[in-house]
Amino acid sequence: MTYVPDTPQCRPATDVTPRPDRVSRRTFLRRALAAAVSASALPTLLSACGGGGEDRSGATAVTPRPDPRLPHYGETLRVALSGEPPSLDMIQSTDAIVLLVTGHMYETLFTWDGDYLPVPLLAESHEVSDDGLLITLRLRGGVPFHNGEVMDADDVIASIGRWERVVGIGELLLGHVDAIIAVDQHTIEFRLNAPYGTFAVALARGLQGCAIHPKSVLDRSDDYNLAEPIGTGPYRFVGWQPDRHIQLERFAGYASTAGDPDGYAGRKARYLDGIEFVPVRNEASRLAGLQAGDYHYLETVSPDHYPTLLDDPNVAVDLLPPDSWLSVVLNMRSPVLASLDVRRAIQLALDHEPIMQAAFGEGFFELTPTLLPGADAWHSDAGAEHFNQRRPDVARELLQQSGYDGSPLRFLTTQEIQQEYNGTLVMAQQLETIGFTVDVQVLDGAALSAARNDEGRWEMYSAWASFRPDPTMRNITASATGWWEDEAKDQLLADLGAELDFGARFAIWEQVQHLFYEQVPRLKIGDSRRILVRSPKLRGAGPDELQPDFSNAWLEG
Amino acid sequence: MIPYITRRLALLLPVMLIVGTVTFTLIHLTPGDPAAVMLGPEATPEEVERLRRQMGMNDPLPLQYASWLADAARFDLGDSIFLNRSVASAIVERAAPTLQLAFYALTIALLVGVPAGIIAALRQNSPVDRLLMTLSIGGTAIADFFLGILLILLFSVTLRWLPSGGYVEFTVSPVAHARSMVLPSLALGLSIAGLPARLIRSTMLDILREDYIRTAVAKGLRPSVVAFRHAFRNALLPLVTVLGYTLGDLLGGAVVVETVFSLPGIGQLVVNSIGRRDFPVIQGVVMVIAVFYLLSNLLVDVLYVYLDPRVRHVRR
Repeated sequence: MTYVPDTPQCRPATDVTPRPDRVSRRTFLRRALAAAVSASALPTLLSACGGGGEDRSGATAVTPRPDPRLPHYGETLRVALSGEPPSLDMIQSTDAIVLLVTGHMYETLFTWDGDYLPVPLLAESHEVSDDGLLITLRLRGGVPFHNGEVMDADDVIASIGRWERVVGIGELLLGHVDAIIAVDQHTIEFRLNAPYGTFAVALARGLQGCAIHPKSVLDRSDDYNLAEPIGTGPYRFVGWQPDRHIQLERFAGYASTAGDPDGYAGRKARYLDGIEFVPVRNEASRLAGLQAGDYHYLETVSPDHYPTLLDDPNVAVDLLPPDSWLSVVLNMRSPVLASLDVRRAIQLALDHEPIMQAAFGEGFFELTPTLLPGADAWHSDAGAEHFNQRRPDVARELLQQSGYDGSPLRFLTTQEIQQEYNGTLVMAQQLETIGFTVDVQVLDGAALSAARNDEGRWEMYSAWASFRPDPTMRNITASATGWWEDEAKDQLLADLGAELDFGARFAIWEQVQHLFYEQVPRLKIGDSRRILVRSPKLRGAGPDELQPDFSNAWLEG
Repeated sequence: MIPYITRRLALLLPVMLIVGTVTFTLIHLTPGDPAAVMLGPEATPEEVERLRRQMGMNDPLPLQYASWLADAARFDLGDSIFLNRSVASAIVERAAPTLQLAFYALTIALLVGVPAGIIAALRQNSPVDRLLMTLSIGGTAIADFFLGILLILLFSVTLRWLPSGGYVEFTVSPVAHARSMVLPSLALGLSIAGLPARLIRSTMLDILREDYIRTAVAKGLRPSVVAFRHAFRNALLPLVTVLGYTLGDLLGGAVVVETVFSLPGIGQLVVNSIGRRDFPVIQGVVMVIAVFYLLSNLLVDVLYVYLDPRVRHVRR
């Protein structure tokens, strides 16, 4: 069975995550925004597409609109980044800034709709055989790359091959694949050795997502250096001057999918002539630049600024629902934390509210046990009885029974993320209260990134768990950090990846989440609410959880 | 003079070797590696290890040092890990904003500080003297980033006269260039203006008590001639020394001001490279800054010879 990308209600039987019946507040708001954008965009689109359906949005000769608030073509969006992307090769980095920039240049085979369900983007459809061992992927025809070549099966196979060699999740997918065969220019067969239900999820937009590049470019690239930043995205690369700007311009030849904007899916009108990403490391400078009208969009700002920004007419502020969480990773290979009793004592001792108060402040956090905040379909309270127990007396007793010898818990953190640092100080104090010796070690980001891969270097470190639409995406529960090695968990994760039916997958995920709280490989402290700051002139920006999409954004006035 | 300069230039070589070796050792002793930074906060240890191998970071340190030394001997500073260009071209790109900022800031510092110092000396212990010296202490004490933020709030956010940050080349648009450089130059220039002001004041006060000044006054010379032709010229000598060191500092990058105003200069380059452990860039920038320092010190020494006849006579 195939399905049409622009009518998400027509889902195939193989679609692994059916749309939930309940319409959440988030979904309602998104749909309302999409409807408003569509309605207001209609006259523009009619004029833009007036030439027998030909997409003329790349042309500059657009009739001026009498009402500047309506969507219109023109202007360059200036986005102030908190730092420089380490690479413009999407697969190289899990740094969110990389996705923020390259998400406009490159596209993946699948993307996410407004309910965070995977839908085709460069793919047209995919079918899974009854035994789950053959996946037939059909590509959209006539999709040009920025260099003029037209995407075909060879480009996709070459891109997947490179992605698989670099990215862990790609390795996992390809571990299930015996052969990838180009049946024709626009059809690819994946012959599997075991069913893999999360095929579309693995190949969808995300950190280190599988961007599709021309084979001719990949032939000149190696696994870690992309020869040219060429993709099929709505904006194409113009130039990158490190520490000054990255400039993108509207890709006139872009082949958009049809249908109303829905999440990251649907039509991409490309109203903006270009997007300029400017690294501005100092937060006060970023904010002042936005207030002065020099920038139109900032990455999230710290809660301290929220009250003053609310009164500023030059700034629009959105307080987003929780979509990521503060956590502490425990090193299960450490002699101290190998003991489940010691890990449970930590879990019992912590009072999460004051930690989150110190980290984010009142009103900017929520305390929920779900490991996938923001992904409504995956919300689960499994293991809630272990979450935020606040029982220091029981913890103290358990710690004494465990035979803990007073060895210091080396707790790594960084001041580069102030929230992590503030939370760490409160946690350390709470742990010392019940008898732990805590050695808080403050490192810079680069040193922390390196140290956490060395199992002999630490017992705990503060970490961020970013938004994930699907539990198989990256490593909340994998053994990658903290070395959580458990056969039952690994089997459940394997089943989760293989299973096709959403109901069955959800049941498996609840078991994983339960194990997470039972075995304490990592502590979830609380969900953070990000503050999004933009110019009031910026309208129509897409969702933000997997980095903002400006493909349908425009600047008023 | 020429043999003296030649000898000083020849001394650059061993100094650079020491600087290079110490820098190489320090940056490789610092925890953190570029592979982990490149891959981001959610990379797995396996992914990091693969990239480390690819980057050649698992080679023994002596081998890496030998390789760096061989390249450096050919004036090849290597390639940046993150910037997709050679270290030399990255430094050349960043030199213009830094040189311009240093030049504009020093000009402002001298235009403000020198007259203030002269006036304060000539009006010693008057309310004007006290006001100028209070301002100069205030200027020296105020952090340049704080002054920068205040300037942004006034001229960018409130008045909207000037951009809050960024850089435009002079060749692209002289007006836009001037607009982009006014605030950072003011922030840096005003924060260092107190130094020449206080130095000129104290030196002038010493000189004004000298016998030859008394003689000049007794001869009936106009006060302005005494002040400028006889006192001020001699007060310039210590100023040259201090300005030489200040210039060395500024060419090394006014890190904080460059960060506040998002100026893509040497200071930003070195700070960002340290943050992401871009070892070849750190190494290259430190070498270049060391050369700047050594050359500016040499320049000061040479200028001394021309400015102070006593030094010339001693040398002869």
